[in-house]
Amino acid sequence: MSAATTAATPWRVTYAVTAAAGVVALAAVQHLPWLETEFRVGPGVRWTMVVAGLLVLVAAARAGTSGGVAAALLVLGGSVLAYPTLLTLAAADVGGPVVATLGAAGHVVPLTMVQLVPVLVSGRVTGRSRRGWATTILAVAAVGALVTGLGLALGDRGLPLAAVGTILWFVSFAFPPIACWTAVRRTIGQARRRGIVAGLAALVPVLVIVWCVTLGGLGSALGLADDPTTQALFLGFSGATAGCALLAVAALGDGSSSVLRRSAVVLLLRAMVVGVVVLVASGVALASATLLPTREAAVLVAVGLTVLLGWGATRLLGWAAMVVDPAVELRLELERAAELVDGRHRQVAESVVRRLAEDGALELAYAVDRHTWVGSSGRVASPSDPVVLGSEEGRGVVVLLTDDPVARRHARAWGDCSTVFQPALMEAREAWQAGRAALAADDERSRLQQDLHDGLQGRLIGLALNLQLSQSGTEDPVARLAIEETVTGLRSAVQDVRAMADGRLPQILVDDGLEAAVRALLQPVRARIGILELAADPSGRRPLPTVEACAYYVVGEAVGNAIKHAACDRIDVSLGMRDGSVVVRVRDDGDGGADARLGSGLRGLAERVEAHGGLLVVSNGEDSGTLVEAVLPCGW
Amino acid sequence: MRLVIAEDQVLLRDGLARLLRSAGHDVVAEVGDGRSLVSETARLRPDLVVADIRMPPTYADEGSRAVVLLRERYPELAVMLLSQAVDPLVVARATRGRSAGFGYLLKDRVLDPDTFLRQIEEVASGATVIDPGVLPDALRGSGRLKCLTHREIEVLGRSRPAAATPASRPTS
Repeated sequence: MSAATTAATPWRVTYAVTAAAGVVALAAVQHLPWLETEFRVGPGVRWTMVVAGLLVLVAAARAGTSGGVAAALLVLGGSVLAYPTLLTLAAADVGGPVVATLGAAGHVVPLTMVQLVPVLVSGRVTGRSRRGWATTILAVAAVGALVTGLGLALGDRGLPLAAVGTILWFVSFAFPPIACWTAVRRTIGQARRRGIVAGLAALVPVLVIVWCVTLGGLGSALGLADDPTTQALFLGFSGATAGCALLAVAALGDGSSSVLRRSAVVLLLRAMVVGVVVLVASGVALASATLLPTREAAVLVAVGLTVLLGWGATRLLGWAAMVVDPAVELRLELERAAELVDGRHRQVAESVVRRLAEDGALELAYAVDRHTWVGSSGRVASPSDPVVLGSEEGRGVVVLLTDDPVARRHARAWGDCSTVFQPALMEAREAWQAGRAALAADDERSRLQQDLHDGLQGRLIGLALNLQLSQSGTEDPVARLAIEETVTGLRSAVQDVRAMADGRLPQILVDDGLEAAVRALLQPVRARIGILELAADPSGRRPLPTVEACAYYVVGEAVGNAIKHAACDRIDVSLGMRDGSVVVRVRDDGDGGADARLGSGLRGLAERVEAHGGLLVVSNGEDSGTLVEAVLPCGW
Repeated sequence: MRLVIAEDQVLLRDGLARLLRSAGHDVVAEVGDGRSLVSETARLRPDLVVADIRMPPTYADEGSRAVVLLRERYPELAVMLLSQAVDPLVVARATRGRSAGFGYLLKDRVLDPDTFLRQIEEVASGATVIDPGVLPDALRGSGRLKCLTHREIEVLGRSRPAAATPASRPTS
């Protein structure tokens, strides 16, 4: 901000000097006689032109502009200020042909700048390069001026050439509106409003000048004043230049500027539409005054046509609102975004609304049933003081939550956008239903798990325990053996039940397979692992999930045992496929002595491996330590 | 030794009582939920409590909560928690950094009566017995051990896993 101010300061000095010079110059030449007989510009009109020039410079200075826009505004203000002085000098026949030419062509520079300024501003506020348009405008103005000058210099023979040059130059007045309004397309929010104001700045000169000429012509035709055309033309020139500069500067103004408010821009656009209607009506009146026999008939035709045009203009007024209208903007934005990311309507809706309402923290909430609200992320939100964006049967179902008054004002201006938010609402409801279904499934799973844990497992253990205790009461060796076998079977059933109830395999094992899972499993104890050989089946086939899980637990249990009990420094792990079986080998260099009979961990492991039709062997290593080997059929 | 057994599965509770009585212990009360565990323990002041973690009415952690309460009130009370599945968090919550006279075993360890009875006696004499299942879980990087304090991890590390070693020593 301070950098911009510093940069703008030299411009302000230049503006002030230019303004003072312009005023002093006109004051100095004020007493000169007006010798020109064909048209006369009175002191009132000349001072009006000075005021217009001053307005341009003051507006530019207040806006603190810089770069091309500042330069263009300086040239505009300076040339508008200089124009009455040049006219006065030329009319007094002071300064010879040079001043006479300058006076005659005094409008060329300001009217070129009036084209250039909105285009430059438009480019800046919409962020779209308008450099090509600016160059074209300058080039056409230069060529037009050159051709006109050449035509005039040739005298009577050159008149057609002069006409061509003038027509070419006037055609260039169509460029700024095109350049500005094409930049407005596909912009949103404040940039769009700024772009529209710049577009209005491009239209103002054309409308004001044409309007004044028409009015002047009408005045002449009706005999209302002495040479009203000239007066109107110069007043229109003043109004056009000042109006254009003020609007252009307003488009650059800071965000809180009242001109940039939605309602203000709509009002300006509507004023423009009314202006066009009045202009056309005046033109018709002029034509009828010239062509129709009586003045009364001309007035009648003009009034009738104005009414007719006014009726048609109501549609245009509607368009004016729509161009700026936030709800339309919102709909277009959402539709465009929804095409890109189908299935993420809620996130898209929220991000678009955040952008348009200029509040990055606001949230949208959707009513998924009578009493429940969810936010875009699915979280249950409790809407307090919401702004309703969509409703169903008179009840708000899509609401905006924010404390920011500006965002709330934006949102209220959108009105009812039920249709716009329909996809997001449906998505929220579907997600809610799906979530409830998943929750119900979770409940069911945990209930089942609890049944297994607290019911079946406990009963099995109870049975086994009681059976085991009754064993001591019998002497029959056959019965004792049968009891022992039954207890063993019950014990393995208990383990199975626990495995089922706990039942969640590590995700990496499910997704990426045994090798990746074992690698991840051993990562925390990597320092203790010596050789780690993990080889998948060359064919890429994976063992059955239960087999993978079993092999995984064998590695985990064996390595865990080695670390805890074997006082070892190094553990070698190898995992491979051989003849349709998974082969796991875990060897440590500890004190050995691990036997399947000793540790219930290893014993459980052996039972588990056997349950899969495999074999687990625990043996003493060649030199020292323990070797755990498991061979597990892949189950193909 | 005087014991109270808290286990909602009648079959298992009977079995436990028979097993403990056969080893010469005095089972003074058999209860089926956390509330009666607290009241009976307060009334009978046993030396040791054998408690299931999940009991009625919610089947969440009634047993361990009751045990925490009792250990606060009666610091001398030894406790053997029985569980369907190993959960290091239970150890952390139930010991609260004071692990003497505390045991935590999977239920099916009772099917090794000799080891189980020995572990009961060790806990009663102030030792700490933690089921070895707790440690492989930690090895698998479940991350739950992060919930434990340094002291608790130290205790877990020092208490020799019950089923694999013949004797556990008091840790504090």
